[in-house]
Amino acid sequence: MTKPLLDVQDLHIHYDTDNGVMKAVEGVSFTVGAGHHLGLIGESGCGKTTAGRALMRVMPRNASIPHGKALFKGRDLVQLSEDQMRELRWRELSMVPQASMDSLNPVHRVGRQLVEVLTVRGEFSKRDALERASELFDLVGLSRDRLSHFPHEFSGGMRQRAVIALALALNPDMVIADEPVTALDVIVQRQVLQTFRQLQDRLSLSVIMITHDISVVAETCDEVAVMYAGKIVEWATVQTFFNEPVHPYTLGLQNAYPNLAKPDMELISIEGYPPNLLNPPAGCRFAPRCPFSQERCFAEEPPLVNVGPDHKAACHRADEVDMLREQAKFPATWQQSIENG
Amino acid sequence: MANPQTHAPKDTPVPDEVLIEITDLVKHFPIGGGLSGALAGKNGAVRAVNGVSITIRRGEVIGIAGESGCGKSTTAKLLMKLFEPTSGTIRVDREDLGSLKRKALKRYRRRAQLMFQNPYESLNPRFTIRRALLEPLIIHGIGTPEERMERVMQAMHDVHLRPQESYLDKLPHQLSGGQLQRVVLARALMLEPDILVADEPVSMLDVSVRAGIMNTMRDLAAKRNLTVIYISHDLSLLQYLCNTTAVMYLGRVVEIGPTRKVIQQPKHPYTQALIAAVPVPEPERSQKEVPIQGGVPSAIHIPSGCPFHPRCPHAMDICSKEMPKPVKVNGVQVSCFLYTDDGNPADSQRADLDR
Amino acid sequence: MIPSTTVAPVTEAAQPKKHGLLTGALAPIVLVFKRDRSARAGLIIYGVMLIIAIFAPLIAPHNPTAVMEVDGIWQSNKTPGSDYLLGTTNIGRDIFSQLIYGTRPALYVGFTAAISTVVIGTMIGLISGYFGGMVDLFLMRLTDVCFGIPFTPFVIVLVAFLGPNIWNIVLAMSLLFWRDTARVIRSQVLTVRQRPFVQAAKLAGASDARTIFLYVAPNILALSFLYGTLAIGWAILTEASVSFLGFGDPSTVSWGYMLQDAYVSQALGRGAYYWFIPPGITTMLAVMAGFFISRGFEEMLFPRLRGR
Repeated sequence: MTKPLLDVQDLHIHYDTDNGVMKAVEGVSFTVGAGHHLGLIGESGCGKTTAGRALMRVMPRNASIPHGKALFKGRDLVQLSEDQMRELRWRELSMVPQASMDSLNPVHRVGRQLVEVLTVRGEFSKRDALERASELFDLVGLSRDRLSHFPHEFSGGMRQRAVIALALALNPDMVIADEPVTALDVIVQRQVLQTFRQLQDRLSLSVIMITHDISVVAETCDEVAVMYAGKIVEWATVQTFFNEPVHPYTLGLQNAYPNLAKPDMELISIEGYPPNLLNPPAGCRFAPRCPFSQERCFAEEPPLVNVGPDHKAACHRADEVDMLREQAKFPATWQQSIENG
Repeated sequence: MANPQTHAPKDTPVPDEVLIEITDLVKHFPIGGGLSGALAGKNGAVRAVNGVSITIRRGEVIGIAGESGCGKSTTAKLLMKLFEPTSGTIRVDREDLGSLKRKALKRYRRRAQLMFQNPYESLNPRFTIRRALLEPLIIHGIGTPEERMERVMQAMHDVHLRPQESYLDKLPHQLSGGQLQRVVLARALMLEPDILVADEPVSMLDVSVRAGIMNTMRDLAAKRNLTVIYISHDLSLLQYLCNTTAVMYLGRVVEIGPTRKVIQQPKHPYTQALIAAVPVPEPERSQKEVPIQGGVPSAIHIPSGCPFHPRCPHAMDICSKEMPKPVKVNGVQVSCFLYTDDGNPADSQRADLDR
Repeated sequence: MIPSTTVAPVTEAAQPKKHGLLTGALAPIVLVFKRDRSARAGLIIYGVMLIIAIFAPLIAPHNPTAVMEVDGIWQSNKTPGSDYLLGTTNIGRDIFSQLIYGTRPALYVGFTAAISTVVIGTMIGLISGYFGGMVDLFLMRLTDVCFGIPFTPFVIVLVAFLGPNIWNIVLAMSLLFWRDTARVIRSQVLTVRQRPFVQAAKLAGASDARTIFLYVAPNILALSFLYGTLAIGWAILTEASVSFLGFGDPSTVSWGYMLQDAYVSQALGRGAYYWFIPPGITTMLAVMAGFFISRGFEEMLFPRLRGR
């Protein structure tokens, strides 16, 4: 098997806050192969955005990486100096941040912003940069004459695609996209997701798609990593994730998402809230909300282990998965005390 | 108590008695002078709602779907009398909303409640939860202090905010989005309304939290026999909660009918495109090309004739010239020249969705 | 009526907690002082000034307006020494006592002018921003007029009509200084008014008065406080300037008055630094204290990203 483009090993990210140290990400490991799309999924506060930003090393001042490696093309992103990171950013690894539709400078034409990146960071000549900018617009499905427009003349979806074009300007190997379609209308959302798919085919682009919506992952990704309270609880190919989920949290997630093609499906939500990361509980972090938790789960943290080919999960009861999957189908299983004191 | 398997709302028959009658509703927001005036032309206006007529029956749960700029939120706000329409009427129990003054208006404000989209901004940051819930009762002078607290406790129980004591003295910034939206729902119920308008009630919440709120809303609506109007761009939410669905585009209703029919067998090309575009959590489904290009045009310059014709894959000559009148096809009302009244597609080009 | 059989009776715990003033409405204000060092410094300076002002008769060795005489000889222009800590003026008044008593007008003027400025400005901003339309138009044009009126000539005219009394100075400030606050509060009200919870209140049937006082006002008060603290500094400075220019109250010995007195008697030429430097320093401290406190409020309203 070829070496993965990105190999994250046991990454820990902490935030220094007024109330203590918040352990936002604890021991996260995953890989992304060249040309593969990884979906990083989880609810707000689970650490997925933190992890994405850590890879780009664009974190707030009170964040630190006390432990772990992130090997990108063999180099450890955690250890690189700021200058080295600056060299790497945009050229080899770039990011489409959350709500980035608003990150375009409103007083400059969009084409100019693209050309700037190309000439300043990419050492393109002005003429080559214009040509490249046109190519990029073609790539993301925007018409060339829009290069001379201002951001406010673009709709939300078009701005999002312009930002994607910016991220791709210098032909990076990998793009980290944080909630790239959340604020968009359904039809535009589909267009943007298709763009990502096409880019994957045409450029062999690797993408880490950070999102809370599993439908988006189903549409665009090859592999999925599920994060909960700063940890990865399941890692699988997309087919396995949907057809043979193992971790109770994943089982819960699948119940909670409405499916337009399944109008009679009863939605079941996962009651309760993720733990406080200032003082995370000792055992499995999902145990308090898990309908299948046992004593062992509260005492001992389950390690992320192989449960099948290209499939990992962190659950003490992974071997009982068939029974758990059956039970997970019933609303009564999840009807824990809705009362949360 | 296990979740009772209630009848999926999309299958319940809609009752008969008409509660709300919206007729030819129009709302234009004129653009002032200055830059926006110059861009739009002197007589420019944002034509948010352009002739909407909908009949809502008592106890019906209707969803209004559409993308941004289609006018669904504006329609909801007109129903709530947040502002007045440019023309057209809304009748509730046969009373024209436009003619309501003072006392009658205050009474209407008791019966019709609105849930906003943003749970983080829907509550006064200075009020504790207790105070926020008591407020509607205080404004309308209802009940003694004991009776008020009883109602508060009951409402919190109904929206699953238990134990109530742990929430009463908290401030909004101490609660999560899901909890806040439950408080907003409880507040909406305090005055025992019979009409509830929910504008994107769960779009700002994590998908894993939505299911809980949606179930709560569904159960409460049934239990209290509320007439609910859901505004959302999320068709799967509407499919889960509503027995009737209306699809709006650039200020007009293009299709309206029983939810199951509208979503499973969409007729209007726009509805078909919308449904084809919704991502589905099933990786095996073939990715369909979106049959239409571009985004929704601005509501300032609405195309002539059928507003969808520039993007419609089945556009005919007549579509750019005339506005299609609504016709009834198989129990669903569609405004499209592809159809004639009852049953038969006017054109063999009628698009069918691959399912 | 909603059947209450499914719910437990309203328990003790459900009764509202009685909040003390410090933990309730004023809690965010107390927090500002806890958090911000400069705000605490400002508060301490005013605290000290207040104590000095209250106990002035006990601290000051002499009456500030009294001319010191020893055996019939006026003790004029004495340099600082054991008899007169900061020396005497050119007609023999004790400078140290004047300095001590000077805290009083500084505090009266500072705080009353600040309070009336903020109260008038906030009320006008609230009404203008909330109601809009003709009311807004009228009030904002009034504000523009106030911006157009230059302060010092206005004071001169007022003083000419009403007499050079310290309260007339405060009146002059109150009549003009509200303009900044009004503008800022109005624009904040315009924003707050759009927020969903305010619309929700109106939809619930709340009257305008209720909406303004319970919903809009509490959410802009912090800004009022900010402007209030800024106004203290400006008010003290203004009083000093007005007195320095000679339009102050001749019967009140304020620091501005001391500066004017020193200037007029050419203290600089004579090198009588002990006369004008102390009131200069105390005025500066009093004004700075106001701005320090306002820094604390500014931090609370517009916080910077906290990093370590």
